[in-house]
Amino acid sequence: MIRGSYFVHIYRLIIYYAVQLLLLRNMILFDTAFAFFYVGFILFLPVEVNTASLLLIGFFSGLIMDVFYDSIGIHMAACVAVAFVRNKWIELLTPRGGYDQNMPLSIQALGFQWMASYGLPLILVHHITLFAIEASSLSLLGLTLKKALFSSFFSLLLIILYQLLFYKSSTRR
Amino acid sequence: MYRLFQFIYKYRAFFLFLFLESVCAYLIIQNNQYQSASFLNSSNFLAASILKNTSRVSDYFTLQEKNRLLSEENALLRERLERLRQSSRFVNKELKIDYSKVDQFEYEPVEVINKSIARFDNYLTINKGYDSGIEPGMGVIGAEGIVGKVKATSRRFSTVVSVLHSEMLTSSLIKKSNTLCTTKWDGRDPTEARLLYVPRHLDINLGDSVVTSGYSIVYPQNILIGTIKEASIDENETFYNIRIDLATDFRDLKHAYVIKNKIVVEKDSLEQKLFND
Repeated sequence: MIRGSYFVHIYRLIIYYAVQLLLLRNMILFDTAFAFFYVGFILFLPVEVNTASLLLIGFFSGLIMDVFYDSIGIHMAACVAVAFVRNKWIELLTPRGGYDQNMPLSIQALGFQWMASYGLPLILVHHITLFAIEASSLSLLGLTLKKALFSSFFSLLLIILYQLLFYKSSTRR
Repeated sequence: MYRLFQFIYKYRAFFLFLFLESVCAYLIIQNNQYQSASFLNSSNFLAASILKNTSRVSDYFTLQEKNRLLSEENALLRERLERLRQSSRFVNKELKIDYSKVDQFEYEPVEVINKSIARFDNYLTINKGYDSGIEPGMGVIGAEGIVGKVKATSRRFSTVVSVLHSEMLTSSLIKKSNTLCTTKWDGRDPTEARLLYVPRHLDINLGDSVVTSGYSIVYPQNILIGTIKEASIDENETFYNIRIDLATDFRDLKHAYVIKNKIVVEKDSLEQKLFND
C-alpha cells in the first residue's frame, strides 16, 4: 500500500460514515430498501491491501455502524464476510491484461460494467448476511430476501453516484 | 509442529476470518439477552451526542405537528383530571386510600433522539440516563400507547427496546372480556402486532381495545396497546389468530415518558422468595 494515500482513505472513511450516519440512517424506501452505503469504503480500498488487514478494517468499520444501529455484532459479521471474499472476487474479475500497478478501483478506471459485476454480488453478500442474522428465523425468509435485494440495488446506486461525483480527482494523479 | 505453524500461517486469512466471525457471534448472542450493561450501543456518550445533534436539526421541520400533538394530549389530560376532581367530590370521605399504591408510578418526560422502525429488531434512543433516575427494565409509553422497555443507560442517554422487536413480549388484557394474552410483533408492519394465546371459547369483537395487564412490573395497568383489527381461527387450533393495530404511531414518535415504579423492589423480592421456595 502506498504511504501517501493513507490520508485519502481516512478522508474517504469519514465521508462514507458521515453520509451514512447523518443522511442515510433514516432513509428507508417503502420500509424495504435500506441504504448501507458505507460498504463502499471496504469495496474501494486499493487492490494491494491484503485479506488479513481487510478483515480487521471490516471488523472495526462494522463496529462503528453497530454502535449507532444498536445491533452489536451484526454489521461486523457482514463486513468481515465481505472483506473475506473481496480479494478473491477481484482476482476472478481480472480484466484482460490484468490490473495496472496502483490502479484505483473506480468506475473511471474500470468502467461501469466491471463496477456492476464487482459491486452487486459483494453488496448482496453483505446485505443478505446482515438481514439474515437480524431476522434470525426462517419464517421471515421471503421478507429478508426482498429487503436484501432491494437494499442492494439502492446501495449500489448510491455508491456509483458517489464514485462518479467524488472519485474523479484521485484518478488524475 | 513446524508443519502445523506453516499450515496456520498459510491460511492465516481464513483463520482470522473464523476468529473475527466467532467474536461477532459471541457479541450477537450476548446482546440478545434481556439486559446487557454494555457500552457498545447508541446510549454511549459519543454516539448519542451525534444522534442528538442530528435530531436537533431535523426536529425543526416537524415542530408544528409535534406541538399540536402535545397540546392535544394536554387538553385530554386536563379533561380527565377535571372529571376525576369533580367525581371525587361525591365520593364518601370515609373511603381509605392507600397512597403508597396510588403514588407508585412516576413519569419522566423524555425525547426520542433516534429510532428505527423498519428493521426486524428495532430500538430507540432517548435523551435521559441514570442521572435522571432511569434504570434498565423500566417501561416507556407515549401519548397514545406503549412504546418499549429500557435496555441500557449511560449518564445522559438510554437505549430502549421498542415494542417492534422480535423478542419483546407484552403481557396484555382484552379490556372487554378481561382475557389475559400476550402481544408480540411479527417483524412485518410497524403499525400492527399479533395477539397470542387467546383461547377459542371467547367472543372476539373487532375494534376491542387491548391494554396492558399490570401483571409485569414494566407498565402500569390499563395503558392502551392497540385495537383488534382482524381475528380468525382454524378448525383445529386452540388459540385465535389476532392482529391488532398498535396505538402508538412509531413513525411520528418524538415525546415519550419513562415510568418509574416505586414498589418494584418490594414486588421483585416477594416474587423472588416465591421462586426460591
